[in-house]
Amino acid sequence: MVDYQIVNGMMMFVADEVIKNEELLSDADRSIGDGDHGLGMKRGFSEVKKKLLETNPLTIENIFQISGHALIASMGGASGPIFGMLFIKGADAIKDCNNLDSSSLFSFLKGGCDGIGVISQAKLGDKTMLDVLIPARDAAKKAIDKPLPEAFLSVEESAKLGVENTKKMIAKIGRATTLGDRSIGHPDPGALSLWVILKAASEYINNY
Amino acid sequence: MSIKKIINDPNNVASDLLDGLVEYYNGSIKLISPGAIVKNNIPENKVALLVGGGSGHEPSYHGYVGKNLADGASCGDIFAAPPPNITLEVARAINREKGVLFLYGNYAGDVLNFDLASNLAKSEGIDVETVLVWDDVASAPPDEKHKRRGIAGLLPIVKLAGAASNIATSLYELKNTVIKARDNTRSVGAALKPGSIPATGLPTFELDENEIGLGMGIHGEAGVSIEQMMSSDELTIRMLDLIFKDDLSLESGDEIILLVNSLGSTTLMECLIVLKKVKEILTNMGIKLYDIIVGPKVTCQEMAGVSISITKLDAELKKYWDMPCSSLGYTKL
Repeated sequence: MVDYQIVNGMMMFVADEVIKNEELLSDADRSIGDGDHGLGMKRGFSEVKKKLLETNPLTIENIFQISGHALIASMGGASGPIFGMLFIKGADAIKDCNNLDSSSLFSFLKGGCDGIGVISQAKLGDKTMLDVLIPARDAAKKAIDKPLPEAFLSVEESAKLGVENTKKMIAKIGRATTLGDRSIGHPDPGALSLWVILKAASEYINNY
Repeated sequence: MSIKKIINDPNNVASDLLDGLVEYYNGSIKLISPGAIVKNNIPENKVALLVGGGSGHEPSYHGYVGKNLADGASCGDIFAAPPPNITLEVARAINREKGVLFLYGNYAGDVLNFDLASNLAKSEGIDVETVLVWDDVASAPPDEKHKRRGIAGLLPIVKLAGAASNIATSLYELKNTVIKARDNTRSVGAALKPGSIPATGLPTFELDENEIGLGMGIHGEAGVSIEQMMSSDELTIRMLDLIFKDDLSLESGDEIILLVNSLGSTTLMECLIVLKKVKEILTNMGIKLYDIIVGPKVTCQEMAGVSISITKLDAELKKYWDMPCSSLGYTKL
């Protein structure tokens, strides 16, 4: 059973992996943005670790709520509200969940997707993190009857493919918009970040 | 190659600079929590004006808190929009029962964070209205102004908004005046060299030795075109043409505020050479320069380049322009 303690361990591992990948994320942003995306993500996930240690949450919902609020309160930029909403609205969608299973993974990703849709006008194909989140949600739906580790593997795989797909896209929203065709060939930094998050979560769930 | 900078911990640059800013103001502003700058002695019943954005563009945006200017500033990390909790704290501290106008540059991150803050403030009973600065004509066509970036035109707009906020009797009235100031302002920039991120020392974009990014944004966002180096006069003509082609009517007899802004390392010498040509062209068109601002006002570290901003005045805006003001970024006697 994947209880709150395992989810807490998973979030701490995810945070460490995001922090470790600061350079990768900043480099990606330098190609189509201003090169600070990794720094914002590092700042946000350092705060996630700090808040989880301080508050010691005892439910899965709380762990994700606290993580989301920590991201919004510390990151700023476009990524703060967007990644924060993913966790907050994801948490709202799995209230009273004592065991993170494939069904709650799908609900979490769906809730996050819907929440981001409310604050951002981005659509599939606009070269944003939604180009990873939407396929990841759909992969989770397909794997809803599989065991969680397996579901996570297919979510991670679709996320990776999603990042690859953003390389072919022209940015339609955010700062990279004005690059036009010149954004082709580069992955979207936010999409890359979400893949790092999902990959780390999958790795933890498959190996703890 | 990383850039040399006179800093301490590269990750604390944003907070260190705000500490310095508070010292500069020598008692007239305070830092109420990290990133939250508030003017002291805001009168009762005043409609409050809040500016904000990422740090690293000094003296924007926090350098425009001051007498007859903004009442508070919400400051993010370097080049990052401030999180909503910072903006909420500033809004609470400067609200005098008449509400708060949020005035900031139109960037996706800023809009997301300020809108969250606006919702939080409204749920506490604070009236909030927002005006986005979108003066950069190179960033989207005239019928898609909501996609345009906010650049140096922010300064004349904040100057007018600050003056108007002292007279306005309601938030609604202030908002309308600021919308007029915003709609009468157009800017265009040109980039020669990138700035760098203090924490990494790495440039924010790349441009070849012989290239000029015409219409390029303050974070290196793409503009109209990449051109070969040209003379100041040629560049000035190209830049002004982009403003003239836009939908702000400029006719003989009109009076404007002109800002020739350095993006950081471009010298005052170069700005003055640009200014000379702008004046010549506008005078030939019969347009009167009511007032002129020149120098680094909205910057991006050691980025090289200039921007030209024009704000067309009417009788009401002229009255607000004539009011004296003082701040780190702009003082008018």
